[in-house]
Amino acid sequence: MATAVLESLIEVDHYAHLMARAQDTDAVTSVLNTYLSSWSEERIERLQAIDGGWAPFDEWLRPMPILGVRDILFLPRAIRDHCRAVRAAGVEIATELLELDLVLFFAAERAAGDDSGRALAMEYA
Amino acid sequence: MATRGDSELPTDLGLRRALARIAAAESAAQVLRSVQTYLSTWPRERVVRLQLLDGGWAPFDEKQRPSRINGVRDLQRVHNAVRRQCELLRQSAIAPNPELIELDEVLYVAVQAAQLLQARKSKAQSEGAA
Repeated sequence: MATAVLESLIEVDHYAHLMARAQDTDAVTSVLNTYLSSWSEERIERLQAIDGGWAPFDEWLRPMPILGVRDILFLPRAIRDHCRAVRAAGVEIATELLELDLVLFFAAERAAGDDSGRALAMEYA
Repeated sequence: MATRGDSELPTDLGLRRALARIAAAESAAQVLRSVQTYLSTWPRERVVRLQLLDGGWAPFDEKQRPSRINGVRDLQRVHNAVRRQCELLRQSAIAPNPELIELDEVLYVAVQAAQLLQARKSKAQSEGAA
């Protein structure tokens, strides 16, 4: 039986595969929204205990919609900066935050490779 | 704010740390180092269990020591072989053991991260040269 971390890793694999196959940023957005809607309330609660308010879930533990390339590029930076801060404080990063960080990173890199995302990615660089 | 639960297995902690290092990597070289570090943390008994089903494809030698991974292409080659082995086992109605599944998944994430970071670097270099 897979452990919690391995289950998380399998999720990352699944959604990274879908993003790699996405034809454009609209498809990446759709995959990302599907991914966020797959989170259980229990997992969101654990995430919100450590996300510094940056994860895309509201106070009712519902996913906030990713509206397009701007969100896809902004969110991973916010989460990654938060992870850096957590790491710098000498704290282990929770599995939920790690999983979100990796999925958002794959989404952002995929979107930044697309024509519509390239200019924005340079803006954020 | 500590996240390690009382029930967390040592392997879970090691896996989470490996993923954290891959996620924190800012270059393909750092991803490769993270993978090498991860492989070096595998205790001998886990490698022995892995080698029961890996078909010789996992990056450990006959003395259960990690093999060296030389670059992103080599990482991808190793991962492709491990994933193919998992698929072959499943086709033969044999479930890959947790060690093989874990290795497959870590290598997959590492390959993706390394390739994306390498592509980002190439793009930045070509844009800088233009």
